Amino acid sequence: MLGKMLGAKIIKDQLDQNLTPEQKKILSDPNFAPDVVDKLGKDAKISLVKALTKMKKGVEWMGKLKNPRDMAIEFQQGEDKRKYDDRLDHKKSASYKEYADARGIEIEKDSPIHEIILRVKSIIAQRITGGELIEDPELAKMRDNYTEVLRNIILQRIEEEEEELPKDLNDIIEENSWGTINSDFYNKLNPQDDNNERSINFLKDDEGFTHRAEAMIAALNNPNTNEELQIDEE
Amino acid sequence: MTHEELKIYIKTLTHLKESKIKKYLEQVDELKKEDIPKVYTYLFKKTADYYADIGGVINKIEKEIDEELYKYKIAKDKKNLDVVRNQIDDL
Repeated sequence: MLGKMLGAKIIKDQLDQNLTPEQKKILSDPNFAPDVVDKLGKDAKISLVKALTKMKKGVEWMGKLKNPRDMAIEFQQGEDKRKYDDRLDHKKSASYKEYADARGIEIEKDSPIHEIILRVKSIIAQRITGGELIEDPELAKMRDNYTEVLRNIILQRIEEEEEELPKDLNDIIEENSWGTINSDFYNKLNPQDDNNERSINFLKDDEGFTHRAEAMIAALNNPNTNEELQIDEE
Repeated sequence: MTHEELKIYIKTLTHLKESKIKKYLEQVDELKKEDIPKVYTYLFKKTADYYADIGGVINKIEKEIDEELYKYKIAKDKKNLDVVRNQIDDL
């Protein structure tokens, strides 16, 4: 019902009230022709009206977007982020926060993990909708489901990482076996490094590194001088 | 690598609990100089594994999404086709 009511005329009326000259220029843009606005879906129209209303209050960035669809999308994305931030607000309850709380995971708003989760959400939304507004409930549900799944996997992985890492740094040294690449080798790899006595320690169970190191040593050994670089085992 | 450089690196491990980072930072000064690179190597490898895991999961989920979208598109096309068929039948 509301979707049908939100025709181009109503949107133009919204714009007509107390607009600045610059904002009024938007009205004359061909992108705001009634047939263009009418082609927007219900959700996009609602977002557009909200965006225009916000613009009237002096939000400058809205005026820079002349395409009504872009304005609607930009507004909706801002709303999505705001709602999402609200969910992460420690004062409010959210399933995500409950999950973290139950496992003693501390995730601060604006932390890198928060950023990762937002990025994941954005990747999923982009993948599913190609950046378009989600007006199809089935697609919106799919996006939300996958976001939740990924969020939980990430939190689970954080928890595992916490458990895997030893409590004390000394345990890292004692619980692993180590090899050392001698300083000659290091200097050949890093000739610009001033520290001529530096050597590299590597985890002996890190097979990938060991193989790469052996390959590099073979490549660096100079047959003309019979000099051979060795991996020293401790 | 110096003790201070290791501390700076540990501070970047923000996917860990703050309490763990704090504890590690407190322990850095007690480490022998020769053990500093070992601790760094270990933490660096673990962190790289962690981010590789997350990246792998995202890739896997993206593939699942593609499959779901394909099914969704087929179902939608079929639905549209049925509508057109019905319209033709009504003519």
